[in-house]
Amino acid sequence: MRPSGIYDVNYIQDQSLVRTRVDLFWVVFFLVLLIAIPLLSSQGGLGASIVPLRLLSILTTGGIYLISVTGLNILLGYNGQISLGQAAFMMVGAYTSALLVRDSGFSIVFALPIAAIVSGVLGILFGLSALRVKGFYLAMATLGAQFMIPWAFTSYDAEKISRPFKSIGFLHDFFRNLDFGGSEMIVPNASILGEEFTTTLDKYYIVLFFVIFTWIAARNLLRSRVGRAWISIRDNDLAAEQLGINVFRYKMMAFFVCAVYAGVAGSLKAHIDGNITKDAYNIEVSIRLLAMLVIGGAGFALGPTFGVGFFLFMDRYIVHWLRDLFEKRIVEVLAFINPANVPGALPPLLLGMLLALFLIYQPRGIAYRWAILQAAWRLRPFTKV
Amino acid sequence: MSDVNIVGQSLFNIIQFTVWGILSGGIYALVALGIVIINKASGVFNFAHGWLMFIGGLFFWQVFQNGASDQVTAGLSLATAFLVVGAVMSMGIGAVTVRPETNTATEGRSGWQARLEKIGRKWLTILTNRRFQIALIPALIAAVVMAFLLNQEDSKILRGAMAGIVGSILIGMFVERFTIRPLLGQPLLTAILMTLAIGFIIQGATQLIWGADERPIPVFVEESESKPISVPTGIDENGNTIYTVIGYDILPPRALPDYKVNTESALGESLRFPRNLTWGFAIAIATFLAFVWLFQYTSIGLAMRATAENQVLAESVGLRVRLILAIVWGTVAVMAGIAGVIQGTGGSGLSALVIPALALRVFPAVLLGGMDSVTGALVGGVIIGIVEQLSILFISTTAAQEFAPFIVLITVLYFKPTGLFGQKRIDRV
Amino acid sequence: MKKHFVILLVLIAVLATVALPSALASRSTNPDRMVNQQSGRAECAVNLADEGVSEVSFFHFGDLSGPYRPISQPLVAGLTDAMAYFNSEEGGGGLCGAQITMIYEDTGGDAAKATEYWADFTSREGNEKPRIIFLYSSTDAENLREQAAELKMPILLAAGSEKSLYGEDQTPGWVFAAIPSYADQMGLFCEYVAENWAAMGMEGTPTIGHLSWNIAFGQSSDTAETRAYCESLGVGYAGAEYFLPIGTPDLSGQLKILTDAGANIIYTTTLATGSSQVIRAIVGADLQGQILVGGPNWILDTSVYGLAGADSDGVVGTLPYLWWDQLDNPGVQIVNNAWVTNRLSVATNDEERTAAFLTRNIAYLTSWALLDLWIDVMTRAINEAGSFEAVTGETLYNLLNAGYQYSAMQGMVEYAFDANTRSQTHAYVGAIDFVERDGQVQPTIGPLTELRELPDLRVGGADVPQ
Repeated sequence: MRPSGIYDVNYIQDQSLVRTRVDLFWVVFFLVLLIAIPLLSSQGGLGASIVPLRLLSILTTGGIYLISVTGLNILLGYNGQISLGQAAFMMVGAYTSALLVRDSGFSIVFALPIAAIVSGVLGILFGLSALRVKGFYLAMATLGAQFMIPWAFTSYDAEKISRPFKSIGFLHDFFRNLDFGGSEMIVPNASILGEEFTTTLDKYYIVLFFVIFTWIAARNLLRSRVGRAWISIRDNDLAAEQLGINVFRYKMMAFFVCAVYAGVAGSLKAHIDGNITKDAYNIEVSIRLLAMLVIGGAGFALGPTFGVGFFLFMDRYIVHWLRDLFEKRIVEVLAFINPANVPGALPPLLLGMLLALFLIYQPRGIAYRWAILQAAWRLRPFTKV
Repeated sequence: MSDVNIVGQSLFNIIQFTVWGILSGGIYALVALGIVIINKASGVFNFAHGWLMFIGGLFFWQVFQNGASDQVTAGLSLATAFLVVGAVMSMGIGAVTVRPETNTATEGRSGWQARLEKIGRKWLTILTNRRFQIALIPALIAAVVMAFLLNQEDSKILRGAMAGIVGSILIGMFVERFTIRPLLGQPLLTAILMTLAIGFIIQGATQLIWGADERPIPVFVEESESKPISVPTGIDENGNTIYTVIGYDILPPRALPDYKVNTESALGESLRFPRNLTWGFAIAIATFLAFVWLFQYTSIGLAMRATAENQVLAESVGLRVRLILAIVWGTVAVMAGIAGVIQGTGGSGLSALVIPALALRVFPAVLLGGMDSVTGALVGGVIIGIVEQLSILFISTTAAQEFAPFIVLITVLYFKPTGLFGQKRIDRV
Repeated sequence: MKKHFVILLVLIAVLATVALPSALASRSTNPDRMVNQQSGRAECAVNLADEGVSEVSFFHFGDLSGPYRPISQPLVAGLTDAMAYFNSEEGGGGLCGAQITMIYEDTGGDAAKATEYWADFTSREGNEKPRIIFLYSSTDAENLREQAAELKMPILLAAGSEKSLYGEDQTPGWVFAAIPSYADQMGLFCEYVAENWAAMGMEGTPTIGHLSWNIAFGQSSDTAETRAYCESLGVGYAGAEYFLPIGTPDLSGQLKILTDAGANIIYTTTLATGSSQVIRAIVGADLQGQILVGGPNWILDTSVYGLAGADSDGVVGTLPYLWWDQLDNPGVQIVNNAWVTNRLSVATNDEERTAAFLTRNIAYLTSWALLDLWIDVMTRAINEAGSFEAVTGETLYNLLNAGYQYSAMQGMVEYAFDANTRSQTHAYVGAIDFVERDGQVQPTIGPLTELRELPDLRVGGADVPQ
């Protein structure tokens, strides 16, 4: 919905990233804000410590998830497919990049793109099994990936796996020599040209760079021929096929891009966290990423941002506030609740409730509501929301 | 025979692990059946099934382990009577499934009198139905007998079972009414996410009320007289330790060893059948068959199958589709609860960390058997059980839990996405 | 030129005195090494109220609702009660005039959440910044080890794997464990088995099979060093089977594989639920009495016999502290009294009494010693730095690293750290015993041996056979 009086007079204008001056203002405003925030923290070098470091570390975590959810948005929001294995592909990125940096001495500048591609290719391997068939088979295939990939990275035991193949020489050697690392690992800090990224500030900036980069990449993809093909498949795959779109190929491409985004996010996460654990990439994380997208608004440019922001706010603030409320007040009223159970019970309860409520009452997410509010503001006073 | 080796493992071990695989596969089959039925009826792939298992088991545990107050027993008796009457009636006549014809006398009028009259007429139609009258007598007798049995001192398991069944039905219907029904007509993704959300809600709620402790269901244990447990709590002036009795039955009783079948002459060792798995298998298969019978040979089952086939058509011939869907969810929740209780009698107890993870391993079984095939659920469940146990033997435990079932899943997707027994109605792109 | 040369020589000399002893002696066992010889808690030289600090927080995070729950819930209960006691007049009135509070988070066993909370805790600033963070799990400590050194934030760990304490490069790091490392405990167990195998009435050669959790903690007992050490004592090795703490319904198969390989000892590095599952599997296979069950200190716990009942009778493990029954120790008495007042006497029905019984557990007991240790370390650090604000992670690290000894809760637990040691070095071997007296069942945990020194089985440790 655009304000009246503003028309696109040519195609380039219609497709441009920043279409009006107001848009331009907001883009510049947020860019400056995001770049300036950390300078006001105690590590910023300006002597001011207005911005707490905690906020920066929260934003850094959020940025990583944002990249991953953006990938998921391409798959689900613009191509209509479901992946339950986004976290597993993040793990592929994390391990590839960590091994390249630690053992082969790569700089992150090279390790990250390689990790992203490897993750994408592995995604294709799993996706191939399901993308030929319609329905939620991709969800199933990615569920398989979600279990098999973390298992391969953390519990693969060459000794035991190769044992049953003793009589078949080449298979035995193959499984014997496979090595995925075999356990959880410590990851060195990311470094570019010998500069190590150690402080909260450094980590914030490197994530910010990739958030902006992947965001622009996604926008560009979606306004290209490929993006339009994806959207047409989402809306009606039969019609899309009639238009001459190779549905299988484009679905595969969407899944590839989604896995690549996961790879980028995973690679960053490994270097920021300083370690790779199975838990950081388990099925629950995959589901949470999906939930972020759905609550934020799948198929909207702003959806992932709203979703991730909402989740961070919920995790870091609402849950704590509720925990206090429960431990101090509600436990007195509902005597059967043991206060010791509250911290563990609240996050899943809250997540489930919110997801259910959003699915029933606002299935298109916060971004949709935001768009409606924007429209209402423009049409005031003739609106009724 | 006893020294035959197959890829480094003795023949006995392979047979033993296969037997264990079949036994645990029985439980997988029961879980898979629930998922298949919901998929057929509602078109939803239920990711919350593990949590339905868990909460059903908890209802059982609550009454089984803590005893029931008179109020709870009375409530359970009433609910049981109601259930028995309902079940017998729905098998015998179509009154529950077929909408009574609307009465023109009350048509168009509104207000509470008209509504009351309408309800009265409806029940009059049902009550004057001859087949209903015939069914009512055995139903009432059965209900009285059940209620009487429930009130016996030592019918702990029965009381627990009734609590589990009643609780599961309520949860199942609740889930259907408040989360699945509002999503009718929404895309597939929404339904999947909703079942995930239900899982989270049940996880949080059970943890809030019962805590994350595992709850053992001690059924296969040694009978022994209970002795008081005491601990030292202080020292008196003479320097002697004072012991205080904490209570009786605080520590779980001793476990019993597995059943053994003597096969020493043939295989060199005796085959072992773990008690919980053996009974669990028997109960699971019995339940499986009971529900298959319910679906194939009763009128409510017929209504369910009709609904699964085509909801619009079913509605147009007078079936009350929404009621039927609620009943489907109720019965499936009962199946899940039974599987949960069976799992709870094992060494790991009723644990929020074990049961939902187990349900995830059933998805490969469902896909292997075919997502809309009842036979497929049985075969798929048993195959996955065997695959899992043999992977423990040949590879490693973690591979059996996180790798083997899912490699089956990926293989099925590559080569036969319909599954072994599924209908070939897959759209390719 | 000459001046430079002298300076260089002096530097080398200084380096040699500082670095050589720690590089050469892999561990000093002489108890005289301790710098601080005092037995009681350090006295405050500074009053924090003057500084305007009225509350000092004890920071910890870990698994409160996942597999560690049977241990960590009593831990929080213990810390709560201990905090109330130490804040009272009787217990010393807090930390140098400031009240002790507790800030903690639940990870639910999720290592990723641990990383998140770590980032959250360490990015706090000013007086809200933790000076030392208490963790429960080896996994978290292994993952955060490097970052702890980088951010100069010491970690106090409930009990640690060899890897979390010394890392892959064998440098004592910023992680200090309150309980001996699991590799050392395994060595002690092998010593005990080798000495007493015949006396226990067991047949054949002792052979160990590991049946443990598939996480850092579970895999910390079975290392190349412990295998070599046990073998040198004549204790064989049958293999290791690892299962997930989450989602493993049954262990019959794993047990069968180990016994087929000749295991007559099952050593399980698991907590409550895992250990009871192992015990139940052995009962199921009807092998009770033919198989000895062993484990680290966590297997000698109420949480184990609370779940496995009398089947856990005879389980052998390490006991690096006094147990609840040793009421002649004044420290144990204080804990016991607090438990009776705060937990047992407020329980009104059977269910609550059972909960109270399960709270009477290792973690409740040792949480008091831990908090006592924390108060002492903080007090010394504050004395050294002159104010609370000036205390940093580095102050604490230097204090512990320079040689620190403290007998917490008047002898209940003896803590000793120095430049080369990151965990306790002495322990008893103990066992679970179900005593029947006057028609009452009294489950106890008692020592089987004298207090003895553990072998040093870190990579390249002094006792590892060459």
